[in-house]
Amino acid sequence: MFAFLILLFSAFALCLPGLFLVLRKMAMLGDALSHTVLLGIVLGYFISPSLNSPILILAASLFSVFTVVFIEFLNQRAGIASDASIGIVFPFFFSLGVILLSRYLRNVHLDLDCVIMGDLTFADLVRTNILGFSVPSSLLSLAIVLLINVVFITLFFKELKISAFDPQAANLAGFHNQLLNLGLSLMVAISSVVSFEIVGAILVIAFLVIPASFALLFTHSLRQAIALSLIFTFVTGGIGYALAWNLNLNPAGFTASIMGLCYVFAFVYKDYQTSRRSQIRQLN
Amino acid sequence: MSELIRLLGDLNFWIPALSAMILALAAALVGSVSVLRGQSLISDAIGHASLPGVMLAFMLFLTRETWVLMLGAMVFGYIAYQLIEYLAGPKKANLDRAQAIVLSSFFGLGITLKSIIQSFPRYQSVPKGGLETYFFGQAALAAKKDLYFTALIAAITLCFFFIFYKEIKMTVFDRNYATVTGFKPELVNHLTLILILALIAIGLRVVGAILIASLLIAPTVAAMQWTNSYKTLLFIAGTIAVFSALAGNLLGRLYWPNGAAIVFVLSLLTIFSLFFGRQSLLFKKRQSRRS
Repeated sequence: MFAFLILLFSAFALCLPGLFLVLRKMAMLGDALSHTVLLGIVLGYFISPSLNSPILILAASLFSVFTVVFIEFLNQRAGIASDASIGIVFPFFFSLGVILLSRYLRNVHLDLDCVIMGDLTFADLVRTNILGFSVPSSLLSLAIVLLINVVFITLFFKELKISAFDPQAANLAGFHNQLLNLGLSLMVAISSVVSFEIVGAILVIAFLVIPASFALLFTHSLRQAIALSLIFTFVTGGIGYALAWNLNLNPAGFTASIMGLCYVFAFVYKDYQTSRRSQIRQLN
Repeated sequence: MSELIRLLGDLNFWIPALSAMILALAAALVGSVSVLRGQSLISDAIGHASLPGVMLAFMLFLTRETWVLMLGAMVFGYIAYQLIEYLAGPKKANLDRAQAIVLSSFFGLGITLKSIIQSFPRYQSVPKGGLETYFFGQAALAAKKDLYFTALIAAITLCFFFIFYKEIKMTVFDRNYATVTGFKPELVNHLTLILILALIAIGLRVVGAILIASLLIAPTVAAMQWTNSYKTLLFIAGTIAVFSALAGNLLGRLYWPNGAAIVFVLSLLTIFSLFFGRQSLLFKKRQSRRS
């Protein structure tokens, strides 16, 4: 029961900032971040050797923001195409993370399998007591992150909206687009760091990108898109988790592929609809 | 030091090292086409997406013959490529989300299939050791036969690249001119796609599904910082790639994970080139500030 709640919370925490990533055409940045988080966590582990400590989460998140800054730097100062700079930075950090992990942290509960697939059952086992209830500590940290994301989005809703749809207008309006970018990256970073050991790198990307892309197929209003992406996450996450649990499959991987499948069906349906509409228009 | 000299005379070191070097060389050359055409991350998406192909090929044929698994990887890589093209929509407006979606859901499918392989009794009797290496790569542990096979495919890819060198160069730099001279750029596109698919499929064993893209992207970006001519670029990219593969295998002897070590050395060289390459923007900026 708690395992499903954990999955749901991490999905919600990721799909909120994911919507803005997708709108700004930075979906592959999500891919890069979900990988570099590993190095952040490994480095954070050297500072504070407990996977649930706030210090580790903060250190890893700050490192992820550094990744974003580094990619931006390569793109704007060194003149490397944005996708190539992503393709350089994330293998660099990820390979370093893999090396450090396998050389120095062999006995830690953070093996390479867990890195890509996550470990929901383990996340369910580590508990803390709040008000007499025994709650998984990962659920607690996810709830905090979700709250931070909701607060950030409600506070800066207008700014985020303008800069997503019209970056030039945002610059003219005079607020710091760069700062907003950093805030958004920080949001993505914290959410991925906390979700990383639970659902793994792959489901982090899926949660960031697929619900948002699905919602944007059907609506052009930002509020509706947020609602729709949350509903999509709830439904596909629920189906994926329930099926995976019953069939004894890897929940993270299976949920990711179910989400992708739903998106492809939705896209084909939309495609069919628009082509029929244009045919009718031609007939008239 | 004497340890190093002893190592350089050791055949068990050279066989995996050589095949990794040939692979890196071929990947650097073919990768230059996709990087220069601004499609770097396609190879990342294909690399992730070919994983379910490996797993499915294993499940269907109950063997871990390299060429069977490789064909599976190529088929899925091709499906992924076509799906990305379709989902990206007209004018490729949504290329980034199409890549991210295909990448994550295909890789998720791969993990799902792997969990089926692990838990169903049907697959217990078949030796499946080594399927894990497709995630992060482990050339040092691969069988000798597989390594010869890797080297062979990489060498064939190299030959193809040199045979069609002129055509490829033309389509990369001047598409219109290429069309005017009478051959179809689409043909070169498909040729490079197939070469990339093949290299990724065999590269999975060496560096794994997640980091394979780096072998295709990084050498070209590094070489671009040193030269403006395509021929020199290919030469430098190839040298960097071969050196990284060798260094990575040496570090593998110090118990570093092989594939990750190759990518790490390659990335270090690339970052160095970005800051100090004679043609790099950062270097030029420093120069102009000084004068």
